Amino acid sequence: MISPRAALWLALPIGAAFGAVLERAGLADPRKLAAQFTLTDLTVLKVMMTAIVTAAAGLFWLARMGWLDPAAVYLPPTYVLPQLIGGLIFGVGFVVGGYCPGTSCVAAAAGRGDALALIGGMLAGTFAFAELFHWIRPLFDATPLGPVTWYGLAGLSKGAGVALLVVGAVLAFALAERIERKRHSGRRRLAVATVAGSLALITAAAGGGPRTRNEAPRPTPSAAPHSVPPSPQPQQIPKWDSPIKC
Amino acid sequence: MSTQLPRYWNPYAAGLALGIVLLGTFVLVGRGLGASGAFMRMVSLGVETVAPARVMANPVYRDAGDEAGGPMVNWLLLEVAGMAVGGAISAAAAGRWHAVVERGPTTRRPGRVLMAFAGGTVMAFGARLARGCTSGQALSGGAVLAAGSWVFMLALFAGAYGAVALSRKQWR
Repeated sequence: MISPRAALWLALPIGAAFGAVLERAGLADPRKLAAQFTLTDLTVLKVMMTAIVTAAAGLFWLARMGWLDPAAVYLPPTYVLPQLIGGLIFGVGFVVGGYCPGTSCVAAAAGRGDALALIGGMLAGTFAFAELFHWIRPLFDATPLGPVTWYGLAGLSKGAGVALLVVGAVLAFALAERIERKRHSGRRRLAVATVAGSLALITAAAGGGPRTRNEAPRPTPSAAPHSVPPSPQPQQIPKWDSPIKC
Repeated sequence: MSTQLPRYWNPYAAGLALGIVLLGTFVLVGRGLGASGAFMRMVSLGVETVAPARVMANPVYRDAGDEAGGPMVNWLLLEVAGMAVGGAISAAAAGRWHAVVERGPTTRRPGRVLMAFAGGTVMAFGARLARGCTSGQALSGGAVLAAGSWVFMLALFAGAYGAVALSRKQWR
C-alpha cells in the first residue's frame, strides 16, 4: 500500500494498462459485447471470470504469505435490494447501449462515435439520478448488510470461498466453450491447461482454508517484521464508503 | 459490413492480464478499478461550477467532491483518462483506430446514436443505484467476493439477457 498522493500518480498508468487490456481483449468492440448476450461469442464472460479468479487467488495468496494486509483492501458494502435492481437496470442499459462505462471510454478513444453518444447518455443519467436522489434514497439505503462477502455470509473460510470461485469459473468456462462449439486444437489445449492450473489452485486454496479462518498469526519469528495484526476480514471498515463508489 | 470480428487476444490470456492489472491495483492502491464513478465526479464538477449551492445540498454531489472523498475522488478521473490513452494507443498500434459509428447494415446512424445515448442514460442510473458498474462492482467487488457485487453481477446478466431482444436488431 502506498500513500493516497502517490496513488494519484499511478492512476493514469494503471488506467492506461486497464484500457489497453480491454482493447486487446476486443471489449471495446460493441459486436463482441453484444455477442455475449446473443451467446455467439462468450469473450466477456471468459475475460471477466479469468480476471476475477486471478485477482482473488492473488489476493488470497499474498495475504497468506503475509505480504498483504487483507484489511487494507477495500471491500464494498452490500445493499441487496438496490444492487439487485440497479444490476437489472444496468444490464438493460448495457445491452441497449452496446457498451459498459469502462469499455465505452476505450471505444470512444478508439474512434467510435456511438461510444461517445453513450458517454453523453451516462452523464445525463448520472445527473438525473442525483437530481432525483431525494425520492430514490429510501431504495438506495435499503437492505444494508455492511462490507460482507458471500463466503462470510455462508459461514465459509476465505480459502473455501476462493476454491468455490475457481470451481464455478472452471464450470463456466467449460459451459462457454460448449456453447461456442469451438473445436480448434490450440484453443482446446489452452482450455485444458487453464482447467489443470485451476484445479491445482483449488486444491492449494482449499488446503489453506482453515488456517486463514482463525487468522492465526504466522508462527515463524523471522516473519515478524512483515506480520500484520490479525483482523476479522468480513467486518473491516470501508475506507471510501460513499455513493460515488465504483 | 463484414461480420468477421478482428483478431483479438485469447480471452483467457486477456483475462489473466486484466487480473494482474487488477491485483496490482489492489496491492498498490488498496482498491480496485472503476469507471462510472468518474462520470459522477464529472457531473458533480459541472454542477459545482453552475450552481455551487446545489452541490452542498445534495449528498450525491457532495460525496463526489474533494472534501468527502479526499484525493481519491480524482483518482477515478485520472484512471479513466488513462483508460482512454491506453485504449487509443492499443487500437492505433493494432491498426484498429477508425472514426466510425458502429451499427448493423440495416441500422441507420441516428438510430444507433440514439440507442447508445438511451442505453447510457439507463445504465448510469443503474450504476448509481448499485453504487458501481461493471468495473467497480462486478470486476473489483467480484474479486474480493463482496456479496453485493455478486448480486449486482448476476442481476446485470439477467437484465441484459432479458432485454437482448431490444438490442439485437441494431447489429443486424
